[in-house]
Amino acid sequence: MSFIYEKANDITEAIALHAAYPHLQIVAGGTDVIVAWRSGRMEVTGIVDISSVQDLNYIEIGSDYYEIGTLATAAQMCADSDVCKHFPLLTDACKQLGAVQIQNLATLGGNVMNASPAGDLIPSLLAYNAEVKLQNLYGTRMIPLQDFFTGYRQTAILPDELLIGIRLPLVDDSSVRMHYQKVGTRSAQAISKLAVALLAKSSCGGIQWIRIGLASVAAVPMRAFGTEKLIQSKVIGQPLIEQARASLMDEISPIDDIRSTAMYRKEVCANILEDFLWSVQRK
Amino acid sequence: MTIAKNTEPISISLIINGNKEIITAYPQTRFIDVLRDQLNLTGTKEGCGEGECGACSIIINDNLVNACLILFGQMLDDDEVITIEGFKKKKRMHPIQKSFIDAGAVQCGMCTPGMIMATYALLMKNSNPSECDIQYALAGNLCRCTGYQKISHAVQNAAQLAKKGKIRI
Repeated sequence: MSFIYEKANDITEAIALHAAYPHLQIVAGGTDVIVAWRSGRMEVTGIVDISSVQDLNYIEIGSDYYEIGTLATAAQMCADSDVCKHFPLLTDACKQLGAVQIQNLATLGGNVMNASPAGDLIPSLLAYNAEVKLQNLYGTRMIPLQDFFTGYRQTAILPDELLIGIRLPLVDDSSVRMHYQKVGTRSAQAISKLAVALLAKSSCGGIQWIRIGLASVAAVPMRAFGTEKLIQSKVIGQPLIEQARASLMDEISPIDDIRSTAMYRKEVCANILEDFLWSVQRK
Repeated sequence: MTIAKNTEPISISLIINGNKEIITAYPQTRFIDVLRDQLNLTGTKEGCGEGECGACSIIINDNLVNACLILFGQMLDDDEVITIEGFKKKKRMHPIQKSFIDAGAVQCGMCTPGMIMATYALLMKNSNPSECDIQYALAGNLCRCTGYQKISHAVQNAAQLAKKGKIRI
């Protein structure tokens, strides 16, 4: 057996090692990778361990954005008062990710790079218009998260690129309404049947704009742009609710699997949106 | 940059239950295997091996984690590790141990070390947990015998006892 284990101590080393060994598995928190590897679902011939790279565990506060390093754990994001204040949909999702033991290990970047259609943090990140920061030996680029997932467990990252962090534009209005809901067999540990992150700006009984981030309802985590557009600038009432439900159920493409059925996922997704729209109208 | 190539063992100096130990193992070894097979600390149990059941819960630098999901190579020099064996250092029983026994919160015992570590992690941060806090803190620990009620009582009792003494071991 010839197993390669390389440990990076800083960003430069992490990028150099990844470029030198693009076929090796990157390990951050390890909560997905180690399970997939040990169970035989993933072949791992070696590891580039980035878990100790302190420069990748940061929060950068810009004038109109926050950037969170790829190694920030779910527990760290929950404990950060600024992240809680500005991005409550993200911290809600962090609190419902796995259980305490997992939250202490699982990282923001790991959740994105695992690219699971059920990725717990992704609906919230999508609702916040997150951008991913990718870096290789030659430079850095940003891609909107909504364009990052290109197919089932596929991403737009190049073989030599490393996910450095996630940039979240600040929502410049404190009056926005939001709701995160993960539907699963139990709240801890279980993989979601579906997860929804909703962010909206209301204006006198209507919706100025809405963002709908979804997981476990298609081959990739997704935004429901069609339904968002339909709801935008409309007055909330029974006719709009009916149209929005139909649009959302049409826009998503869930499957029947061991956790749930496609029909259940469509209905519950529409129910969550409906409840949210009524709650926005009531206030 | 390179700490090991082609399966060479590495050495890391860890503080295990208060004792400094230099441990040599392959970096891709799971930390639970280092604890159980190499250090003979078999109090940490392996249940599912997938981070679902919490039987292997230990504390690293004050954070509750699953030892089955950590590779030895991820550890750093001077990391502080607490396992269930850390509770046997004192002559008197720790409040958490005592309350688990008093509440009858132990049946087969497989989940107990993990339950106690999760309780310890909770009480270090929250000395007066609500029922809701307890359920959240122990949600990553499965028990197939007791039905959780007695475990929950044990944690409440431990919190009461801990108010009088210190919780840290």
